[in-house]
Amino acid sequence: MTYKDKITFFYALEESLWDDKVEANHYFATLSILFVILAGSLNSIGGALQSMFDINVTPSLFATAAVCLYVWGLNVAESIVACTDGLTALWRSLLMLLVVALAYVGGVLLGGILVAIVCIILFVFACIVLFKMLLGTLSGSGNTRWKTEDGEEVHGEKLWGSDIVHGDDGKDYKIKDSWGM
Amino acid sequence: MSEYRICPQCGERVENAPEQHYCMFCGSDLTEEVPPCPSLQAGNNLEENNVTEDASVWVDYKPHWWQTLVGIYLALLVLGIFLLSTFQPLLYYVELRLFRFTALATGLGIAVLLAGVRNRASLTTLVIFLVTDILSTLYWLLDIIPLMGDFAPLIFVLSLYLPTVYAYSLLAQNNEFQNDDRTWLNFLAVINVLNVFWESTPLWFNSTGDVNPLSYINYFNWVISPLTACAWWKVARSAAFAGGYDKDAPCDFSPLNRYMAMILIAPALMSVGMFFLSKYMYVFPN
Repeated sequence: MTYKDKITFFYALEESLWDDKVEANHYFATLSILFVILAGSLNSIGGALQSMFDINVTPSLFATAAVCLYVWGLNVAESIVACTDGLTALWRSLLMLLVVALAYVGGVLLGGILVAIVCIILFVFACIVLFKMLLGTLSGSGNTRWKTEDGEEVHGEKLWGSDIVHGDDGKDYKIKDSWGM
Repeated sequence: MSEYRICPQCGERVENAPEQHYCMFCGSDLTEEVPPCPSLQAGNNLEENNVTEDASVWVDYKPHWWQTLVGIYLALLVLGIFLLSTFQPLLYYVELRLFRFTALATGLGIAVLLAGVRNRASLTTLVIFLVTDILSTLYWLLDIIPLMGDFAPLIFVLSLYLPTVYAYSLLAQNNEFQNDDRTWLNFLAVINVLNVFWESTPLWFNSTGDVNPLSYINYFNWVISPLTACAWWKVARSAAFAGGYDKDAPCDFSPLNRYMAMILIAPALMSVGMFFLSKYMYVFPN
C-alpha cells in the first residue's frame, strides 16, 4: 500500500459504492476526514491537558463544530459537482455527514487513546525509576561514589530522600542534586 | 495512469489500462492489442513530442507570466488581510479605512486576468467579478447601505451574491479544468460566496443580545486563508485565463447547471448551520 493509496482510501470506498457515478477528487474527501479526526483529537487532548495540568489549549467545541460543518459543506459542494445524478449527490452528502460525525467521534477517541498511552508510558517509566531507587537503597548498594557540591567525588552511603552522603571517612557531604543515582 | 496509447480509429489518447476496453472519444473497441505510444508518457510536454492537440484539452497549456503574477498577488492579498486581522498590533501601522478597498484590490488582480481570457464565458465572469467588486467598494465607501433602509439586505444580496454565484458557475461550466483544479475553484467559489453572505451579516443579523456568528470565522481562518490563497493561485493560473481568445467558441450561459446548484446549496447549508450553531451555542460547555 503506497502513500497515495493511503490518502485516497475514501475514494476507493466510494468507487466500490458508486463505480462510475461519481468522479470526485481523489484526495479531497480523505483529507477532509483526516482533518476532522485531527480536530476531534485536538479537542480531547486539550481537555486532558486542561484537567491534568490546567493548560488551556482546547479549541472551543463551538469552533470545532463549525469546522466540521464547513468541511461537510465543502464535501456537499464536491458531491453536487462530481456526481452524475442528483440522487447520488444526495446520498453522497448524507454519507459524508455520517462519515464526518464518525470521524469526529473517532478523533476524540483517538486523542483519548493517545493521552492514555502517554500516561501509561510515563507511569511505567516512573515506576521503573522509583523501583530502581528503592532497590538500590534497600540492598545497601547506595554505598557508591557521589559527586558533592564542591565538585569532588566521595565514596559513601546515601539514604533515599536525603541529599546528604555519609562518606567512608566519617564526614557528611552535601551532594550536587538529590537525583544523582 | 502511467501511460497512454493512441486509438486506431480516431487518434485520440486513451489511458493504457487493462480495464479500458473502448475508446472514450469515439467508442471503438480496444480489446485487441494496441502498442503503447512511448512518446506519450503522462506528464511529458506534448509540444516537444510534436503531437497536435486540440487547444481546449486541459493538458496543453502554459500559464502566462501575468497569470503567475496575479496568482501571487491575490494569494498575498488574502494572506495579508488574514494576518492583519489576526495580529491586532499590526493594525496600529495600517489605516483602517484601507480595508474598504479590499474588493477593489481583488478587482485589480482580476482586471489583469482579462488579458488572457479564453472564451466569452470567461470574459463575462471577469466582468461580473469586476462590477461586483466595484459595487461592494462603493457600498462601503459612500455609506449607501444606511440609505437603502429596509431593503438593504435584499439589494446587497441581489446585487453582489447572485451575480457572484452566477459568475463562478459560468467559469466552471465553460472551461476545462483539471480534476484537482476544479476542486480548488469549488473551494474558492464556496468561500467567496460565503464571504459575500457574511459581509451582509450586520444587515440581517440582529447582533444585540446574540453573538454575531461572523466573529467565529476567525477560528477557521487559520485553515481557510492559506487554502484560499492556494485556490486563487490555482484558478489564476488555470487554462481559463491562459490566452487564445476564441469569440466563436460555444458557451453555455444558462444558469441552470450543476455548478450553480453547488454554489447555491453548499454555502446556504453552511450558513444555515452556522446560524443555528450560534443561536444554540449555549448548549456547548465552553
